[in-house]
Amino acid sequence: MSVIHEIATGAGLALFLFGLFVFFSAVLGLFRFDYVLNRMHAAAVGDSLGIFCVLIGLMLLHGWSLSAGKTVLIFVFLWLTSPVASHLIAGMEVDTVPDLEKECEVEER
Amino acid sequence: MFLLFFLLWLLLSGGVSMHICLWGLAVSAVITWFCRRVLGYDWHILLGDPRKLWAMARYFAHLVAEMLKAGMTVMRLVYTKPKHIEPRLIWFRTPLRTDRHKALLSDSITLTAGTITVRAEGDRLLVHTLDAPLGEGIENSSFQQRLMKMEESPWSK
Repeated sequence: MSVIHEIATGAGLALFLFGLFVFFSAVLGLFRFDYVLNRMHAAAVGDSLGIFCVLIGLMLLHGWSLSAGKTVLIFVFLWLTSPVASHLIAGMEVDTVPDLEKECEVEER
Repeated sequence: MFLLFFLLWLLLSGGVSMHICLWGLAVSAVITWFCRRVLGYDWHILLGDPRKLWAMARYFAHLVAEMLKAGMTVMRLVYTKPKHIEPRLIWFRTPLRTDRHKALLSDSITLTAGTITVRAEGDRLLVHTLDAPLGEGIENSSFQQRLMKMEESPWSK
């Protein structure tokens, strides 16, 4: 029993640290990309991969308890709202920028 | 929907006792009534065909896997070549018919890092991709194939 607990704690810590690294990369990406729409992709990495790693890590650290269920709730609400928010921001950007073709190719399929 | 609210109440209150259950029943009844009458929602998520639930579960598992893969790809881009990417805006047509499936498709596209749905007009979607390879085959993505299968199946309303 305690071996499983040790393994879960180790895996949780590893996932948590990797999630922190993902968030670091996301922030780094915000600075390294040079246009709003590209930067949004960097932020989306933190939203999906980062949140996933951190929360799964927390669930493993906490063990099977009520807080794990609440963590799942965080997943649900974050992943329901974040695409809507990025969709609105991206739509606003594409609508208001006069010279979109300078930043990226527009292609019809 | 009533069941959903009740489970949420139990989860948030953190215990099962007579007191909590009674209050939970009352509150979820009021909120269900409010959602039906005032907001006009009518959900039947848990009452659907079990095959439909299973298909949804498989779809979301696939979505999470794709999200993690795409996250890794974009993270590699951040470190390797942030100045040499080829961002694209791609218009494409989706064969999906119902609004619900179209919304699911565009949500899935936006949730996977590296692609964002910018606009949805009728059956056309405008997608921004961070790099050219990420946008390859976007007009026939695995999400779309799965959603088409779900849409065509007789048990999906």
